[in-house]
Parts: sequence; C-alpha cells; structure tokens
Amino acid sequence: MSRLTVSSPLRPPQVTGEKSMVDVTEDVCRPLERKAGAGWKLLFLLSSLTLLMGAALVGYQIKKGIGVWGLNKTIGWAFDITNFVFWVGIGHAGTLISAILLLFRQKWRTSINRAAEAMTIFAVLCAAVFPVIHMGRPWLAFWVFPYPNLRGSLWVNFRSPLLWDVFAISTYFIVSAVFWYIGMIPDLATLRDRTTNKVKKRLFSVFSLGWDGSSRTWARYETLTLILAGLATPLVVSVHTIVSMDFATSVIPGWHTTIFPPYFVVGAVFSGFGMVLTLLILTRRVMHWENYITMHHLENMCKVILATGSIVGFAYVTEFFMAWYSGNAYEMFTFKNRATGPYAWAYWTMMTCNLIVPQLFWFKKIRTSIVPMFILSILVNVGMWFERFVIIVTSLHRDFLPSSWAMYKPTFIEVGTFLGTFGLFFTCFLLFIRFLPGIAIHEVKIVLSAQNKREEVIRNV
Amino acid sequence: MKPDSKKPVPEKKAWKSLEELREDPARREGKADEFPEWSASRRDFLKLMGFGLGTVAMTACTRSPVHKAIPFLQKPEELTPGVANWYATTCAGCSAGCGLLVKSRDGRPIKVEGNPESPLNQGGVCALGQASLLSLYDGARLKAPRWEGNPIAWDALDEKVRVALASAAAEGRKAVLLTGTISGPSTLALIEEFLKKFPGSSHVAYDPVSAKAIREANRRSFGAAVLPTYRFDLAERIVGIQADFLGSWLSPVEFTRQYVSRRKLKLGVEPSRHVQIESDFSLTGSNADLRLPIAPDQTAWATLALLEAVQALAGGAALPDFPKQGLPLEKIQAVAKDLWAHRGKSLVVSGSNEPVVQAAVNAINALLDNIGKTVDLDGVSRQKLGDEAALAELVAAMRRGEVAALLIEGVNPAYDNPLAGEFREALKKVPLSLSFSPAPDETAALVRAQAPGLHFLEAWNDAEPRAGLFHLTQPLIAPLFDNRGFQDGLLRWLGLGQDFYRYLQAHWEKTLYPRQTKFLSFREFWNHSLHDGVFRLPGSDPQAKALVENPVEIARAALADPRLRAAGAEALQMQVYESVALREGAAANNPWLQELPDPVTKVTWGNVLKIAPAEAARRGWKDGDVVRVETERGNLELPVFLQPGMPAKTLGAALGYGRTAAGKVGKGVGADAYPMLGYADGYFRYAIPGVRLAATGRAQRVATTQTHGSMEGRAIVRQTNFDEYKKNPRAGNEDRPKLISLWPAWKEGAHSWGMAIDLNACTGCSGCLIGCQVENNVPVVGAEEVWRRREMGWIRIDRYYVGDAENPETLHQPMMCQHCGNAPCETVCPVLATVHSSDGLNQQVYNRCVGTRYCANNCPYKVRRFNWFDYADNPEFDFNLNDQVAKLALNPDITVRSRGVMEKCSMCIQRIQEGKLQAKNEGRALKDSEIQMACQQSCPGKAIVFGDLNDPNSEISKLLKDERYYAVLEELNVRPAVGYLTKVRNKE
Repeated sequence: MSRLTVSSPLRPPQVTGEKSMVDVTEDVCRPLERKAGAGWKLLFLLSSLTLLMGAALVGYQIKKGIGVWGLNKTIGWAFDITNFVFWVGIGHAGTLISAILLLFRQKWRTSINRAAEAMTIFAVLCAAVFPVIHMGRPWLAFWVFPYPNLRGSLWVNFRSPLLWDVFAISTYFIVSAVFWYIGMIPDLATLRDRTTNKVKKRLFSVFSLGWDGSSRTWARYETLTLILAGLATPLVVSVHTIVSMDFATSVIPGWHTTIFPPYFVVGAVFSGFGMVLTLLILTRRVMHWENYITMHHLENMCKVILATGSIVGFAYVTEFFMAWYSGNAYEMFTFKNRATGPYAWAYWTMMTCNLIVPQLFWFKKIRTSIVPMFILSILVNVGMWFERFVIIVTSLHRDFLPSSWAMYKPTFIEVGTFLGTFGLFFTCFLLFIRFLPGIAIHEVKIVLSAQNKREEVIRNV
Repeated sequence: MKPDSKKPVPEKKAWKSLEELREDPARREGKADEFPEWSASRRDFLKLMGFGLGTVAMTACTRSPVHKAIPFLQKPEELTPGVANWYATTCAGCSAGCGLLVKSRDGRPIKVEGNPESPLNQGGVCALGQASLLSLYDGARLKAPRWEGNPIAWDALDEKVRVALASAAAEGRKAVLLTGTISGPSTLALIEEFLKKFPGSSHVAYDPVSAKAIREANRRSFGAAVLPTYRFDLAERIVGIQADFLGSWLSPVEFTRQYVSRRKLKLGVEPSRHVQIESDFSLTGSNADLRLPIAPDQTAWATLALLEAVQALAGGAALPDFPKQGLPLEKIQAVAKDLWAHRGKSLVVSGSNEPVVQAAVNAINALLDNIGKTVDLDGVSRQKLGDEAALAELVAAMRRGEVAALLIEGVNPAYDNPLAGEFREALKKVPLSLSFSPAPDETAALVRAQAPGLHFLEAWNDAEPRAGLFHLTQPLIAPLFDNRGFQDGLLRWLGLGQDFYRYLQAHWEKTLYPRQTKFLSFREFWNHSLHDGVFRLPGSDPQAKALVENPVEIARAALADPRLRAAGAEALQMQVYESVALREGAAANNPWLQELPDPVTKVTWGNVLKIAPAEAARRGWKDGDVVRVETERGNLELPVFLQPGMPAKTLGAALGYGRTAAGKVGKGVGADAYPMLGYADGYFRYAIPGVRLAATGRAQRVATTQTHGSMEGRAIVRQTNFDEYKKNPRAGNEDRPKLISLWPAWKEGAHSWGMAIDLNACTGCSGCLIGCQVENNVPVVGAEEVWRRREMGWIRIDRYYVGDAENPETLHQPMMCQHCGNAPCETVCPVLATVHSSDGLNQQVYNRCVGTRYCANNCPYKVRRFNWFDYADNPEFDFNLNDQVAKLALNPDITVRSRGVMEKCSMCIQRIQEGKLQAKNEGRALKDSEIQMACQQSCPGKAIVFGDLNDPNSEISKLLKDERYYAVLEELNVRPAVGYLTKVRNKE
C-alpha cells in the first residue's frame, strides 16, 4: 500500500547518507554476519551475569519464602508490582510504534519499529516474572488460569482485576510476538539468501516460511500486517487500562481513582518511548546505523515524550485537585502524605523526572543533541519507576487506620531481582541485535524508494 | 590368618587377566584390596555364630519405644475422640488464683478459659493465665531430678534429702522452705506438719512484687495485718495511686470485671469516675477519666494532699505542712470533693510498697466511709502474704552458714528480687539447696538438687484466694516428664506413705466438709466441688473498722522518713513495674507472652526504658537508642522508648525480662530490672531515686506492633463524655453515613453472624489476643519479624492517643476481620480463595490461596496476615511450633498454615460449627450466646458480644439498634459485621 505514497519534499529525509537499496541490506545484515565485537561481548557478559544473579535470588526467595523481601502486613506489594507495572509500561512503545503509527502512516516509524517491538516483547517477559514470583506459592501460579480441573467446579474469580491482568498480558504478549515475527519474515528471507552458514541457512529457511518475494506473497503479507495492526491497536490501550484497574477498582485511597486508565496508558507510552530512545541511541552507535536512525527519528520520539509527559503531569495535578475537590479526608491525606510524608523524596523524584524534565524537550537544541537526550530518556524511566512506586507504596503504607501504618524498605533480594530483570532484558536485546535484523530492511527500502523518487523529482524540477 | 598362603600354587591356574598371569606386583596389591580373601574355619564359624546369636539375643532385650495408635476398644467413660471435655481447675499463673475451665481433647489440655462459677473472675482470664497452657508443654522444662547436675533417681534423691534434713535437725541447723505466697489450705497444713517433724526448720515466703506495706498499714490503721479485698463494682468514684489494678496489681481479672461492671452503660446509671495518679503509664492509667502523672517521689505527697483535702472536708485537724511543689493540687482537691460527695461509694487504692502511703490511703478510705463497703477487711485476700524482710533475714542466715537445707518452691530467688545477688552468693554456703522449679530458672541452675515439680495442669492442689473461697486444682494430664509435685516430695520426706491427692482429699474431708450443710456424703461434696472447681463458705457482711492511726500522725511519719524526701524537680527517677504479659517474669520462656504487645507501648519481645518524648528530644534520643541507666544499686542497659504521658523526669521499666536461665525463648530477652529495685527497712521499693542516664551510642530494634498513635482526626474510635451522652445517647456517633447500593442486598442464610464490642468495657488488657492465638494456632514470629511489622495475630488492640503528648487520653480498640458484607478482599482474589459464606462470614480458603496478597492490600482494616515464611517446623522460627512437645498445645480443629498463604480471623468458625452441630444433634434451635468466640469467652470485662443478626431477640441484634453502635469505616459501604459501641468517659 505504501509504495504509492509520496511524501512532501519539505519533510526531512528518513534515511540519510545517500543510501542505495543495496546499502540498506548491507548495513543491516553485515553486523550479523561478522564476529561479535568486544563491546557486544562485554555487554553480553555483564547482562547475562546480572540475569544469573537475578535468577539465583529468585531461586533463594522461592526456597525460603517471600519473607526475604521487605514487605509487611500493611504493604503487601512494593518492588514486585512496581517492577511489573514498570516493565509492562516499557512494553508499550513497541506496539504503539508498529501498530498505531502504521495505521496513522507515520513513515518515520520504519527505522525504529523492529527494535521497539523486540523491546516490547522482552519487557513483557520481564514484567511477567513478577506476578509469578510475587505469589506466596508460585508453584501454584497455574491456578490463575481458568482451566478445566478435577477440584470440583473450582473456577477463577472473573471479578478480580488480577485475573483480567492474566488475560490482558498474555494476549498482549502473544499478539506482539506474532506481529514482531510476521514483520520479520521478509528480512529473515533476506538473511537466508545471504548467509553461507548451513545452520543459519536452515533456521532462516524454516522461519522465513518459504518467502519467495513474489507480488502475491507481498500482497498477503501487507494484508496480514494490516490486520494484525488492527488487532494490536486496542491492546495498546487495553493492557495498561487493565493494569491500572488493579489499583482503580480497589478501595485504597490513592488507588481508587477513575483517572487511572488513561493516566496509566499515557504513562506507559511515555516510559516506553523513554526506553526506546535510550536503547536506540546506544544501538545506532554500536551498530553504526546513524543513517537509518537519524536525528529526525530521535527528535520525533522526543516530541512524543514531551507530549505524553505533559499529559502525565496534567494527570498528577488532576489527581491532586480531585483529592481536594472530592472532600474525601482519606484521599486528601494520601496525597498530602505523598508530597510531604516519609516517602516525599520518591514523590518529588517522580515529579521532577516526569513533569519537569521532559519540558526541556521544548528546546530544539536539547531534543536534537544526543547526550542531553540520552540523560533525559533515562530520567524519564527513573521517574516512571518512581511513579509506580509512589502509587503502590505511599498509598498502602498509610491507609485508613493509622494503627497499621508502616514503612517499607526493600531488601537486597528485591533490588537484586529487579536488576536481574534488567539482565534478562538486555541479554535478550543483545541476542536480538546480534542475530536478527534490528532494522526492518524491507520497510526502510520502501521509504527509501519513495525518498529517492522524491529526490529525483526535485532534481528534475 | 590366611590358610591358602601355606599351600603351594596349583599347577593349572585359572587367570582373569594377563597381569594376573604374569603375577604383576602392582596388580597383586590392587587385587588384595578388591576382594579380601578370607574363609572361616569351623572354629571361626562357631565363634561368629555364637557372637551373632548373642548380639541378636542382647538387642532383643532392650525396650524400644512403643508407639501406640490404637482405637479405644473399651472407651473410657466420657471420652470420645474428637470431642472435647472441660475440667475445672485453678490458675497458677499469678497469685490471684482465678478459676479455670480447661478444654481437653483426647487426653491433652489445649485451651484455658475462665470458669464462670468462680466468683473471682466469673469466666474471664488474663493473657498470662491463658498462655500458661504453653508453659505446660515447654520443651525446655526440667524433665527429671538431678543431683549436682547429674541425673538421679527419685528414691536416691529422697534419701539424700532425708539424711540432710535429719542431720540438720540433729545439728540444730536450720532447714528452710522458701516459697512464694501459698494460699492452698492443704499445702499449708502439709507445710505445718513438715515444720513440726523437722524442728528448727522454718517456712519463708516472699513476693517478688510485694504487698507487704498494705498489710503493715492495715495493722497500724485497723489492727489487722491483712490484705483486703476491694469492690470496684460498688465504687462510683475510684482513685488509683501507682496501682495498675487492671493490668497487674493483685487480682487484675477480678478487678477488671468489677471495674467494667460499673463502666458499662446502663440506662440512667452513671458510670464510675476513675482518677489515676501514677508515674508509669500503666494500662489502668490509660483507662482513667483523669490521669495525673507524678514523679515517683511525689507519691507520698500526692497521697497526703488527697488526704489533707479529704480531712478538710471531714472537718478534721489540719495536717502539718509537707512538700507540695509540682503537685496538681487543684485537681487533687477537686478529686477529693468528688470523693467526699460519694462517701461510702468510692474507693482509693495504692500499689505503693511504702507503709506511710498505704496508711494515708487507709485514712482516706476510712474518712470516706469506704471501709466495710468498698474495702473489705473481713473477707480478706490470701494473696501476697509474703514478707521480704524474712527473705533478707534468710539470706543473712545463709551467709552466716546457719542454713543447712534450703528447699525452694514457686519463687526464683536468684532472679526475682533485689536481693538476688546476695542470695546467689549466700547459696554457696548452703549444703543442701533444692529447687522444685518445673522449668529451668536462675535458682535451679545454682542449686545442688533439682527436684522438678509439676505444672499446675498436671497437679492436684487447692487454693484459697480469698478467705472462705476455695478453689480446687485438678490434673488435666499425667505428668509429661519424670517430675513430681512439690507436696509429694514433702510427703515422702515426712515419711507419710501418701500421695498429695489423698492428702488433699483427706484435708478437705477433715476441714471443709464439716463446714457445709448441702451434701450428705463427702464423696458427693468432693465430686461437686471438683466439678465446679469452687467451694464457698458462707461469709458474713464486711464490717466498718475504726481508724487507729490518725491522719496527722501519718503525715508526721511521712515527714520524718528521710527516704521520702523529694529529690527535686530536676532529678531523674525510675518507676519499675510489672508488665501485663510477663508480670514477675516466671513465664519468660513462653513465646506467646513474649510476643504479646504491651497494652500501652505495644512493644513485644523485651522491656524498654519509657521516657517522656520531651526529655528524649532534649537529649537527642529516639526510639531504640540504647542507654545506660545508672543507679546506686547498679547499671542497666535498655533501649529508649518515647512514651507520651510519662512525667517529665520519670523513667519506666518493666520487670520480668533479662532472664539468664529460662529456656531458648526467654533467655536474654530484655534486661533485668530486679537488681535496680531498692530494699530498705524490710520493704522492696519499686521507685528508684537518683537515676543517671548515659548514651551508649548503640541502637536496638524495638519490635512494636503499632508505631502511629494518632487517629489523624478520623472517627475510628468514637467517644463522648457522660454528660453529653445523657443529653443525647447518640453523642459522638452523630455522623453515621447513609448507605446506598446499586445492587440488591446479599441474601443471608439461616444465620447472619455479627459481633459488637463495647469500647467502654474494653480496657485493652489483651487477654483476647492470647485466647485467639491459642484457639487458632496463630504462630509466633519472633522479635525480628515483629519489627518488620509481620506479627500474625488475628486480633489486635489498636491504641490511640488523643490530646497532648504530656498527658494524652488513651483509647483501646480491638480490631479483627470485620467480616464485611461487601468485602473488598473477596472481589480481588484471582483464585476465589476468600469467599463469603451464607451466614455472613468472610472465609479464607488456605488450600486455594496462592498468596498474591491483593486481599490484604485491599483490606481497609489491615487485618489480614500473610505467612511470609513457614513458621512451623522451621528452625529459623525456633518457638513453640518448632518444638515437638509444645506442638501438643495445637488445636486439632485448626490447620497449621503453610507459607505463602493468607490468614485472618475466621470468627472461630470451628466454634460456630460445633455449636450448630450440637444444637442439631439435640434437635433444637441454636440459643443466643450459646456460641462464644475465643476472644469473647476469656474477656474479663465481657466487652465482646457475638450472635445471630437474623434473630431479632438476640443480644447482638439489640446492640445493633443501640445509639452508641457504629461500624468503623462504615462510609466505605463495606458493611462490616463487626461493630463498636462508643466510648463514654465520665470526666468532670
């Protein structure tokens, strides 16, 4: 469909450096066919060691009991669910970029969508760790699935938002993974055709599903992509809406809020773009893809961050206003406590990183220079982690009855497990950029052909 | 011996490998190891067979333990497996001697409850009494007699003791029986016989927390050295001076029952007004309508000030001038006026061990015409008759080498008194020292002979807690170990061929049976008394007594006493008190009591140094900073605890901690405050003047179950004053929300269970916490986990302060699962592990729980408890659930929860089920209040009411219509099944 589109000559080019079609294939595939560099190896070692540490800590925790975490009778969730929501949030950018931006015909998404989708899948994997290990008896985690069983007519509780989570997250993961894989098929075929390694050839042959590049294949491929985009689009909204309902449907002041669904979705997009930005700034540097992931792409992402950050900030202020306007003493106390209580440092970290810091992207200079952009993208994620921490912990630690008020402090196990999921995430991501095409070759080529045509037109004029 | 080696190698050799054929030396060595060749000769064979047969025969002679699990072929009468029997007995947890009903399942006692027949406690029991069950099953108990640390047979021990006693008598040296107060008439008779048999022997009794001054003052004031009984139920005005009568003083369960009967609101009856003048912030002080904090050295002067004011109202002679600096004189005068207006219907009590203070109290009560009305000097108490001067004399005699034999029962003199250090030294000079302690303690660790006695649930005994009121103690179980009762030992040494059971019965037949007219045979009388646990002689009405000593003399005596001189407003002093959980400290190895939060501080696992927040702030100290308390008698290191309501320069510390020999649980918990106590002029002194504090720079985790004391302006505990209540019974409870729902109301089944708690009747004594813990197998988690806020108690008592930090008002609120009709926990569980029952209960299904903790997060009352670890059979939680003996105390009706599951108050569903089944078996409808919750049964104040809301005539249904009734956080529309009645104080 997109072959026929013509973009305005005023738009900045999507691919710079006078690339030809061959260059694109070469630039994307060559790093995969070379031996791994020292940088990659070092990063891989680091992240896999972190993953190993996380796995060991989870093993220890499962052996001893959840008590090795810092939770207590008042605060039943803290690092676990914070990390869960954090990772689910990060997983939002991928689908947004590949599905919604596809439907909106945003050409600039082509260079970044593959990596962003991969990131989504890995982030959801990391997220999925927590609902399982946070259980008191994780070996019975399968009980949350409504499967036919011999325990009488024992069924799951369809009124529980945690159950909705199970469905939302698993659906999201499956659709994202399928979308990612389908999108990769033409590029897998390219790799198949290029590789001389027998094993790789065999594998790529299997996974490219006999791609022959015929017009009919392309037509079917485009149709399927569009259908999947249509399917994935509501999921972008539904997943975090449902995650937010874990809190919104409860009675706890600070959780029981109708603004949560949109607030969480926007926050997720915000954090997802923050993470994509962080990763792509690194990837384009490591893989020498500066001509594909151009400053134009990065700037666009900064704009999305600015927009979503502002919406998130607006939500924060709205929450405060509603706490006052509702006249609900508990609600009011919770918000006052967030801003001035013992966890005020977390609240103000969140406010600074999510509300104030992204506003710097109003300056073109900042959103077009790599270093500030990189720092800001990390701050966005720090802020978003703290947002979830603030929502979960500061609401729980001082709720209705002051007799039960308590404080929470994470243990080494919890911090280590969180780091371990970063290990998982980066191990997966490093394997991905090492063995799979990190940029959608065929999609970039489409954009490039349009761009070259346009340049031809300009030259002819 | 290798017979083969002598033979020549045969010609035709079979070989297995080339190496063997070549006879490779390396190969030979290896082969030798591989199959050592050895064949037995005939002689060897016979030897071996003989050895084998011998071994088999020998081992067959040993007695291996027999584990019997045989169903009753001949079922003992009244014993059905799975059905509990109840037996009446008497508590020995403290000296009060409350009547108990003990639940026995399949031959083992598993729950201690109050005996409604006992006129003392009338069904209530305190935390200590209920927890005493676990002391029976304490795996650390002394399990057999020992001589100088080595096991010895009882007969051999008896022989040694008999010889020692005989030689002591022959040499004219003393044999001393050292005990706590013994009220049992049979035991006292036996001791008398013992003393007669061994001339020169004597009986010394003392009480670690002494009431000697009361008796001495009564001797001076009324000519009778007795401990009176008090009638808080007849007192419209109550003044407590340094007396924690609801928590630990004398007979707290009885006093709580009496006190509460006057605090419950009956139509048109004014509740009593209670003024507490005290130095420590006690449980009793937390219940007072007016609390006047004073420094310990102001006790005498505050009492005199009250006496002076009453004397003035009575028109008596003016008292000589005494120091009045810093006393709240205006308030004391107002109190005196109020007392005067309620002459004959008021009561002043003091826990001070200063005779002068007690004399002044006597004078006040006499002037107020209370003697013979609220103070009964006729039906006297038989508790606390000990004399510390006798102990001091004994220690001196021991030091001089005059004591040849010392038999110690019921006390722990090497620990539980300020003379313990001297005692330990002097004990070395006693040739025969013997301890009857059933559990390890500091004294048992030092004595020559350990003759471990019985826990009261294993023993026969009697008690006479009050003149004319007799309680029987009967064994619920055969002695668990090779122990023998203290009285049985005495009988043996006396050479009487009886056991104490027969002796006891004979004594009752001889002394008590003739004094009654109801029963025609002793057997009938005995069976009846044993069944009820109580026998009461008809008493006469108490008489008023004339005051011998006049108030002016008392004031002069006080002024003449140099030790009563005020230390000055800047001097630090310390008030040492009995903690509600451990009291004198004998039960320190009981994990239930160690983890029981103090009703006021909410501190578990150890004692703390209570200090006024302002004083701590001035010194820059915060909770948990360890400081050294330096006194004349030694130093003590304790973590600081900021306690609102403490007088500015007064410190408070609890007795009963810092045990050095008590078993794995109690050893080394807290610090021992006994050495700090004073002993002078024949009295233990619990107020310590001249204290200095020094920071140590260390800090300790103080395990508290509640860290925030303010209600933050929320209407959680609703309260009002009586004058407001008179005008409007709804006072303090006006803003009950109108609740609407989108959904049709929940359809209840045959029953709808509900509970109401009268906050005016709850004193916060915390007995219910232990009752619940015992009934429901609630685990103990230890100090570290409590510090992490992970205590497991299904019921807790929330304590809130209202007002300023110098002297706040205190509110107690029992809080457990509220069994909400619209339960927030139920909707959020993904696996339906918490569901609603047809009779209105919120139920937790342990088997189904996967442990997401969502329910606990969503609980507005935060009453759900999560099993963070395995608390049973886990060496890291080395408490009762990791002790094979202590596990016998588990309630077999209740699951021991595994790790990873949520738990909470089940509304004693097993009791509901039992009650329903019983009614069904008997073919009748359930009666109201037939089913009692564990927390409700033991409540001394009967503050908890449980019943069926579907029954319009039930007590609970009536309470629901009470103007005082409200539910906590009602506005959330969770529709709790548990409600509260507002607290109505009776302030001026």
